[in-house]
Amino acid sequence: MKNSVRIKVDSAGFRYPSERKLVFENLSFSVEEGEVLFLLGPNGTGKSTLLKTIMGFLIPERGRITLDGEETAKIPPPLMAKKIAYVPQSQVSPFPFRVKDIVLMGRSAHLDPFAMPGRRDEKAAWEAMKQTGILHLAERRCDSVSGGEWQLVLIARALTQAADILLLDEPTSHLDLGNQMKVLDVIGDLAERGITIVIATHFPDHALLHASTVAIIREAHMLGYGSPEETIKPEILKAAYGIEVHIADLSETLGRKICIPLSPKGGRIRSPKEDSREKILIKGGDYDS
Amino acid sequence: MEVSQSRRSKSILIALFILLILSMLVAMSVGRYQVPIKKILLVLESRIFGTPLKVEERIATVILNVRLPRIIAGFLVGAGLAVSGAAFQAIFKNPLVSSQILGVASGAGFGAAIAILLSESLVLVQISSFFFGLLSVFMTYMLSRVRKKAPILMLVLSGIVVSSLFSALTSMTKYIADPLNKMPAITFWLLGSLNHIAKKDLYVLGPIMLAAMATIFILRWRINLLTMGDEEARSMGVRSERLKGIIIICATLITAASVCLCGIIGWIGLVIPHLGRLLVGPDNRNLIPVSVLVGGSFLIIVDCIARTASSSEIPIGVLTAIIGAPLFAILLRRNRREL
Repeated sequence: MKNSVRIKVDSAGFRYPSERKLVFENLSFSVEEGEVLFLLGPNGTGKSTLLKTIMGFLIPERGRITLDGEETAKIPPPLMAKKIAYVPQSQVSPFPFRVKDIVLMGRSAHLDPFAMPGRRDEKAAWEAMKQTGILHLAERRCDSVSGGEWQLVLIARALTQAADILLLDEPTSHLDLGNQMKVLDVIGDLAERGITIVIATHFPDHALLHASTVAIIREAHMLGYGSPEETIKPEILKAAYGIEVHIADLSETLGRKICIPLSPKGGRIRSPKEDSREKILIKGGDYDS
Repeated sequence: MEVSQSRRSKSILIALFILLILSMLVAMSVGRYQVPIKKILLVLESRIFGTPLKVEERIATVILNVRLPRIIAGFLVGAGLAVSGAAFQAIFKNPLVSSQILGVASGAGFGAAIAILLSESLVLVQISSFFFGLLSVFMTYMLSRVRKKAPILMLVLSGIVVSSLFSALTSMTKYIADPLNKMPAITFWLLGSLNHIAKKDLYVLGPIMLAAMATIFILRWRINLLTMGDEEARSMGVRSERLKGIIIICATLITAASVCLCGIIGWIGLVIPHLGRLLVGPDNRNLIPVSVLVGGSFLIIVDCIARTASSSEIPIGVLTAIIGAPLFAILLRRNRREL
């Protein structure tokens, strides 16, 4: 049985009012129920803008973007919030709210404009914090948590909306390796629970971990669209990022493929400092300079 | 732990409520005629329950017709300015703004001054003051927008620009005004004083201020979401533009009404929400009621000082600045990290 299409982007183009160039043009793709779509592409390629047009914050200049058949910019926010939850690239609030209060904010979609969150909403917030593994942060001030923890706070907040589609804007940027994996694990869990996910990221390797579909965009155009096997390929990634990448099949040891970038200078990055080269020489005896 | 947190806020609220009642009683008691608290209670009792008055008529008149309207006005203006400050701070995502800093107060002041110059009608003064208040917040916001955002510093600087423009226009109005009659009226009134509160003004402006405060009070949890930014709030189901519009109109109405009641009284909108955050944190569910109580008590107490400190009355706007500026300086030093 084929799953139903939820989000449909139909030859959409967008440009900011003050600029001449289109941020993206003639983009078409759709997201089905349960799909995990990774949007890849270099900096400034319009991934965030695309997510914002899907959310209906921005109105496409050409084409249509629909959610369940309705144009997203026309869906009233309260209804939209019940269907799609959005995890932005967000700075910490200028006010030191407690983590639990930030998470609780996601419940507003389910409350009347004049209502206050009640016991049931607090329970939902608690549940979401448990799922993302940040229960221990509940009472912390939000300006005292790390970048990785803040991402998990925003994901927990999105979960309290109880929407079945999740849009994430570069959730792993600016995070160290450990935190990247924590965030990806949470995303993997959500995908397994059947939540439809659209995620913009800088890391092709992350798409190999969780994506069911990948879209690679550069300079307003789609370079590749399809399964990770079809799209995470050296030629396409070279066209996107302008560098060679190496894709290694580590199915036997790690159970997956990996994608690593290679330096344009030829693979090995030389240390510019003499003393650090010496250290490497001492440590690894077989280093050839 | 969660329980203790909300219990703490609750006991703070109760303590502040008691402070408010006490400050009202003290304000009724002190002044040129000292009235003991016991007699005040007797007056209030006869007034509320319709029982015969057990104290002299003269005391009842002083309390009910002179001091009570002034106390109610002080409460409304103090609470209103504090609430409008907290609301402006939340929707502009900027802890350094208030109706004074955004230029709303100067705009409303100019609107009122020019209306006083041209007519005597309170309604006209109120409308003109509200219109120019709204115009000035709009100008400040537009001036501060850099690439679709309004950075904290730009907003404050734009507010200074708009404020000085409207202050200059107000000076112009004074210059044109009849030097014997209207000019002193405008000047004294703009200094800020609760001295000339008329009961009939309160009957008109009081309900407006209460309604605007009640609107902000009811929406106070949603205001939390606006601090995350318009798009984020919208993604969580808030109609951000509409909500922001409602809040700006309410906060500007409060400011304009208080300018009409008693001139420009500064610093309350900036200092009181900061004090409130020290007490209960930034969550507007607690911060708005705390701002009402602290702002109201603060202005009542300051007004007592204004009335009694010297033989002639000190303009209250001058006093709030003398108290507010150093207080804010201390808060700034304490919270440097958060700016």
